[in-house]
Amino acid sequence: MNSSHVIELLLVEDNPADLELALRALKKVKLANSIAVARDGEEALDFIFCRGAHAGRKVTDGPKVVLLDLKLPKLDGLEVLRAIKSDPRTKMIPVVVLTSSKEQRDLVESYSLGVNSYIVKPVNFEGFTDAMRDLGVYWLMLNQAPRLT
Amino acid sequence: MLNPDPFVLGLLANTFSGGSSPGLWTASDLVKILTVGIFLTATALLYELPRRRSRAATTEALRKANAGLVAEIDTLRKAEQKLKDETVNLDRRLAECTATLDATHAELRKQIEEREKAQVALRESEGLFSQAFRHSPDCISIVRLSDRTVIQANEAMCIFWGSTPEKVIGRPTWDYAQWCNEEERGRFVQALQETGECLNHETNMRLKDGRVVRFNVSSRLISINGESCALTVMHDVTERKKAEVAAAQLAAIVEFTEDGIIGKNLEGIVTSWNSGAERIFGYRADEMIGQSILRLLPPDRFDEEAEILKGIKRGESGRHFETVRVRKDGGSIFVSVTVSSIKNAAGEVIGASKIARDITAQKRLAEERVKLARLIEHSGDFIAMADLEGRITFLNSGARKMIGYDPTEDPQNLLFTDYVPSKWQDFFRETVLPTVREKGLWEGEMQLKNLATGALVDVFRSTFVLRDSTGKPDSYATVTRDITDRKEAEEKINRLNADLEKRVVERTAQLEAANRELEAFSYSVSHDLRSPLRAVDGFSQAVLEDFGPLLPAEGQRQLRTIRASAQRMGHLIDDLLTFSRLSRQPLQRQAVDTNALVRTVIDDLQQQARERSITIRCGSLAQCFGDPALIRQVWVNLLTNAFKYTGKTTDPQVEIGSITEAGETRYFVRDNGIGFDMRYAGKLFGVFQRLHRLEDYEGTGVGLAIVQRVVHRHGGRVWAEAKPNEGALFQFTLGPDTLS
Repeated sequence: MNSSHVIELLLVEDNPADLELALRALKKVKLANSIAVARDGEEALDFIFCRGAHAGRKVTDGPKVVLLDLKLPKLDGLEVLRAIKSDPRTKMIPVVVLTSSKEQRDLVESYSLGVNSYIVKPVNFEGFTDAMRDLGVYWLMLNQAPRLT
Repeated sequence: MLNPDPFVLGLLANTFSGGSSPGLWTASDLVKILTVGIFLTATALLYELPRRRSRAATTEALRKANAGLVAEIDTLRKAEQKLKDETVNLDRRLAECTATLDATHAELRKQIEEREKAQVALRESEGLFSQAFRHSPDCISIVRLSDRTVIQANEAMCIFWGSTPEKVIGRPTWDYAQWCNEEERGRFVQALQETGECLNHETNMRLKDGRVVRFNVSSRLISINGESCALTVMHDVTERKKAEVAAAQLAAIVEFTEDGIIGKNLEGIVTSWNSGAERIFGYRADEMIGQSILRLLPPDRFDEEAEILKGIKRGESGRHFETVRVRKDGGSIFVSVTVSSIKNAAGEVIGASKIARDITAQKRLAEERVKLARLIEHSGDFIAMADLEGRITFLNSGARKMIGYDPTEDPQNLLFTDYVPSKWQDFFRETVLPTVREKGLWEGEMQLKNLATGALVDVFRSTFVLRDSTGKPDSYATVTRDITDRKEAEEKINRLNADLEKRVVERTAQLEAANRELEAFSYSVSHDLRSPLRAVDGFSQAVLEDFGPLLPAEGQRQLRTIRASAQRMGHLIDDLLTFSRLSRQPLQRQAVDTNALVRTVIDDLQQQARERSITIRCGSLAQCFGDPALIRQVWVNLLTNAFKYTGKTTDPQVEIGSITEAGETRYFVRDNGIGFDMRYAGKLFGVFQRLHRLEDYEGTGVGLAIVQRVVHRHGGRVWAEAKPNEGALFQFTLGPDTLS
């Protein structure tokens, strides 16, 4: 395990209400310690590839998992996903699409781009909290990802 | 004179031997007898005299002698008298005998004459029989059976044998002729020996010269000198046989000819009836012979028969006419008839022969031809014929009208190129005519020229070759239709089609745009409408969690209502999106095992309602052909409803089944739940339509709308029957191709 300042989870979410609820849920399940938030696709990619405001970081210090909304300003979620999965340095980072959309074409497109999981956010808050908890437990605790070098 | 007849001599002999029948002596016989007697007596006396002298003969002695003589003379006198009496008697008897003898003699002579006559007659008769035997036209032979040697054979026989009666005697018959079939001969001879005769046996014999002749043979067993012989009479029946065959052939010809051949007498009574007549008129011979010929005549033609009979009685022959007759089945037929009188040997007319031929078909054909000619004449189409040089030989009224040709003018001067417009002439000569000549037919569109107005007419033309009975091209025929109207209609249709095409393209583009908009809409609904709801729900919960204790109970309840409403709206959006998606996504049809599919649906539902105890009866369900995911949705929705609406029923029951009738399968789900009022059945399948209060039965009102959408997309239909509180029956089909 890395030290506490190491970012374990990148949450890409533009909607402030959704963001707050997501953070609240993560906090509830004690997973809010090492979270970074990106508010649009561009910011997400800057973080992943250590550009702009994140130029000081190293790409190899990537998050353990990226929670990615699909509907984002500037670059949308699918483009972010494509960028991550098409770069050899980042393609092993697990990406979980977390979205309101149940549209089939989004599902198909995401999986064809190499998404690791696809979660539909329930309207019901309890359901949402449950989903966040399961996600965190799985990706941050159970799943073993290869070490990025 | 003494008769030398032995009878008389016999009589005399009897007299001399001292017989007692002097009554038969003649007078001269008696005289001789007496003379002899006297002589004998005198002789005896002279012998006595010397003896007396020697003993001193004495007078006494003489006297005594004299007395003796006197006595003797007296006796003699008496005897003489007796003799005289006898003589008279004898003469009388002699006369009697002579008469008797004369009669006998005459009788004998007569008998002798008769016998001589009979002998002459016999000789004459034998000559006749011999001649008859020799000259009989029949062949007669007598043959010894033991060695087949000819004893006798007549001239007729010998002609066949190629010999003469003198030469054949003593020769075996096989030198001259043999039975063609030796076995047959054996049987014949055996029968002859057993029964003594064999009569009228016909057989073929091979003659010495190789000819085979058919003979009628009759033999009788006779005995000559103790030997069995066959007296055989044969005659040549070859000619008769030939005549019989010829007669049989003639009879067969009459019998089997197609024509009806009928004989009738002068009263018109049928006397013969062949099978041709049977076929033509339908009556059998036994139904017609003895019946009046009038039976065949329609009543309005009875006079015809009287006329015919009159002609026959005059001895007319070969009268030919066509007329109408009636068959047994009542049908009228046209017949061609030839009537000839029949005469007997004396030349008297005794009846008539009638040869009838059914010409109904020809008549009908001729009628048809007239009808066809009228049909052709009055056809609106151009119909024409031309000879091989192109000279028009026939032009119907339609053709005259089309090319503006005078209806009264003879088209003989018209050539079929005359009414071809100049711009079509080359095409006509170089394409149409060569094609007709080579292939027998040209069909296509071209133009003709109206000779009167010069206007051009659009036509569809068929020109073809007509051939004579030997198959040789005989003439050209043309059938041409004015297609001006059709051409115009085609133009119009083409324009309309082009227009329609354009409109379809436009409409398709509009629809595609609408579809895209709809997709974008549902996409954004999916994303954008859900997220505020999530915020409403989430923050309501956050308030309850963070500030719950600060709020009065009513405030908390209201927040919970806000949450419930937000969640319900989430469901509505989900269902609406599902519904929308079902309308858009293409059907992926395949064979679906309905039994297995429904089983999994039931299992899922029972899993979700474990606390419920529902009796489910599921019959065998027919396989269907459809989109498995969508069909599954139908079953899920219907069964969910059945579970849901039996929620307050004691002993809830759900029945599932399918019925296939008239090529269509109907699936059904029946429950004994709350049911509904049929007055609202029309609303049942509408989106967001609900027939129950939310507090009683939760739901969004989209489930049955989805069911209906899926069923309709499969080409089927869905309907429901129900009664409040008694349950509901939902049925659906999936269209006629669900079974394939």
